[in-house]
Amino acid sequence: MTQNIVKPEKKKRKLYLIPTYFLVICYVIFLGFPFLWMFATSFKTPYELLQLNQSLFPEGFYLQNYVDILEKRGLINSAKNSLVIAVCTTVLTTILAVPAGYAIARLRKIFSGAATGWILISQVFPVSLIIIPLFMAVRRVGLLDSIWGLVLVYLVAALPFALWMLKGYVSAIPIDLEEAGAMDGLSSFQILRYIVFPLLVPGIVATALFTFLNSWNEFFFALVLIQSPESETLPLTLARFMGSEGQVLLGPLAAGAFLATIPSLLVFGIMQKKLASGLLSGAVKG
Amino acid sequence: MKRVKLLALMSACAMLATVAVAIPAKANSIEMTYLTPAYLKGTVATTERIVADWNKANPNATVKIVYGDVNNMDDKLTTAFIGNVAPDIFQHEAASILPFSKQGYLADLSKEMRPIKSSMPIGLWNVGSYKAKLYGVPTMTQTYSVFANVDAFKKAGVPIPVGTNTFTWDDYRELAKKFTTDGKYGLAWGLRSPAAMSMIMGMNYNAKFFRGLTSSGGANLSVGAAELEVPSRIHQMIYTDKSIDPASLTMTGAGPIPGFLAGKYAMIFAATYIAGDLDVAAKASGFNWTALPLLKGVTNQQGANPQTLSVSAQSKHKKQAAAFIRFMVQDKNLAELALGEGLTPSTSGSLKIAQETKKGSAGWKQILDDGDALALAPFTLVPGYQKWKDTVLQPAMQQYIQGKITIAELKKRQLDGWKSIR
Repeated sequence: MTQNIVKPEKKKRKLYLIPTYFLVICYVIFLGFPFLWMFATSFKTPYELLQLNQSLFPEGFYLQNYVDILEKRGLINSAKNSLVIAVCTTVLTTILAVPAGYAIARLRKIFSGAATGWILISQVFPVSLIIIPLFMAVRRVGLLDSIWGLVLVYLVAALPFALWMLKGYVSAIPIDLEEAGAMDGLSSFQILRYIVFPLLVPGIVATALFTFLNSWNEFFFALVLIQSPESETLPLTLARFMGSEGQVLLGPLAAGAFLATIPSLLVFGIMQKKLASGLLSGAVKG
Repeated sequence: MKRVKLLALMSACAMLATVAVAIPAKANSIEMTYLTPAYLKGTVATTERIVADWNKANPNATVKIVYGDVNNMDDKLTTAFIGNVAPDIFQHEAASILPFSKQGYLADLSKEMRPIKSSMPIGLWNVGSYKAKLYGVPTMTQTYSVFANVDAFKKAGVPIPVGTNTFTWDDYRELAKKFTTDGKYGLAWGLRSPAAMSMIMGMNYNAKFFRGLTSSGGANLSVGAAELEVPSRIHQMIYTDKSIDPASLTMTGAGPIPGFLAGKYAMIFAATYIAGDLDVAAKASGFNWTALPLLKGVTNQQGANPQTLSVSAQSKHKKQAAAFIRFMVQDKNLAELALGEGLTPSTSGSLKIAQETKKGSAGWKQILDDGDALALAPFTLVPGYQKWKDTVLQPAMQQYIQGKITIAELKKRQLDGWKSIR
């Protein structure tokens, strides 16, 4: 009898899932199509790329685009620089932003308001306004044309938003949990270590991903602060496939862009599980 | 025996002398940086070959290539100059180096380049100069041309215009109309950024735009019939003749190439840099293209904004840097560089080599034969011209081409815009 009641419900649920899956598939195709197009383009010959009616699939596997970017345009060195910069910026931003974000969220309202106001103000200035003073400052500390100079600049640029994000995540953790921990005899550090930090993981991951992707893709600061080819980052190398008046070396650019996308996809793939898991699940049960 | 001893002594002395010369030379060796926006495969290879040749011949004054992004050269150079870390030598374009010349960031090359002055048109030389001092050595220039599908012309039985100073705007309009049949457009014209082109082509009708360049009060913008002639003709071709594919109007200069190769249009109007792509198609599929003579209004002159080579005033090795530029603009080098970019080389010797190299291509022959029509565009010398062109003329022209404003409104916006910039 029970089975008879459950079965139609299950069927009904499955029917509801069909349009959901359909929409998800459409969305994935929508998101994935440019990537597929870029991948296909990276194997096309210069002549194929001049055709009016572009086919999705290349006529053959023209590998010269990859040979050009890997052998002659220093893409590997640029990728290495970008990776070092993005990882270091992400790690440093996270280390600094987690305690600072906690402090801003939990400290008295006056301090918190002033700090968040200051963060917002720092975001107001346009890049064109700060670029020359920033350039002079980086030069004065001897970090011009150095990937460590870029790490410093990206760290400063990423911190306000990271703090803003983490403050929001910390505020969402009920203070009751910390008080309960204190009642159970936990020290402040233990409260942070065993209660706050595990619940903050999705926020930290989101902030880290945001910082990583921003550092990985950043162009303008790198353009101004990096002078030598040895210190170039990926966006700078890729920009060199574009000429004036809309001219583009599409094949090598697509090959370079495809390779440049892989690390960020991998990082996102590894970290995205942490984004969804654990957020307050079962934390406060009545 | 004595002779052997003498020879041995002489050899020993020679070796010692060599070592003595070599050691300080090595100790005094310098490395200069050369910033270039070169990005095309052929140009990059040529640049690297030239630099390698120079380094081989000058081991004590070597050059290191630094590649820049052509779309951000101004930002890169501005910060480099302010930060005192400018490259010794750099390639840019004449109109863009003018502010740097005025601010004293560039070295005067007049004396160093005197040997090559007679080998290039005086108009080009002047474009790279400011107050009679040469700050940028003109290397190569693009012209705006009409490119034709030779097979389409043959099929229609229409003779292809040839010669120089023979092909008028009226002829052009008639040709475009002739090929506009059966739902096909005769012409495609990538007009996404029409400002620079319309000013450069305006010289066909003696458009000056700015007057009083040397007056103490600064230049004044003047927009009259001559300045509005080219925009007006383009508008007529789009809306009266309907001979330009409207889909091409929002494309970049190179945007209509695929349609041109597919036989969708008999002609396209573009800068000569597209010749490289047309060569690719000619080689791969036998596509038969040519360039028509430069358009003529009152004259066939076009304003030149050549690529230039400059030496930074901050460079500690100005003489060696100037020597490198002289090496770079040697006829063979310059011809190879210019052909790689689809541009016309600036010196007479390099032009001859380029013409010889491309003598089998009717299109290239036409492009290179028309090099004499390049002249100094006076508006490039006006302070604030770039800003006015990019922020006022560009959007106004785009709206006019899209049929959103009238010619009177176009004129008004240009004049009002200049007032607000001055």
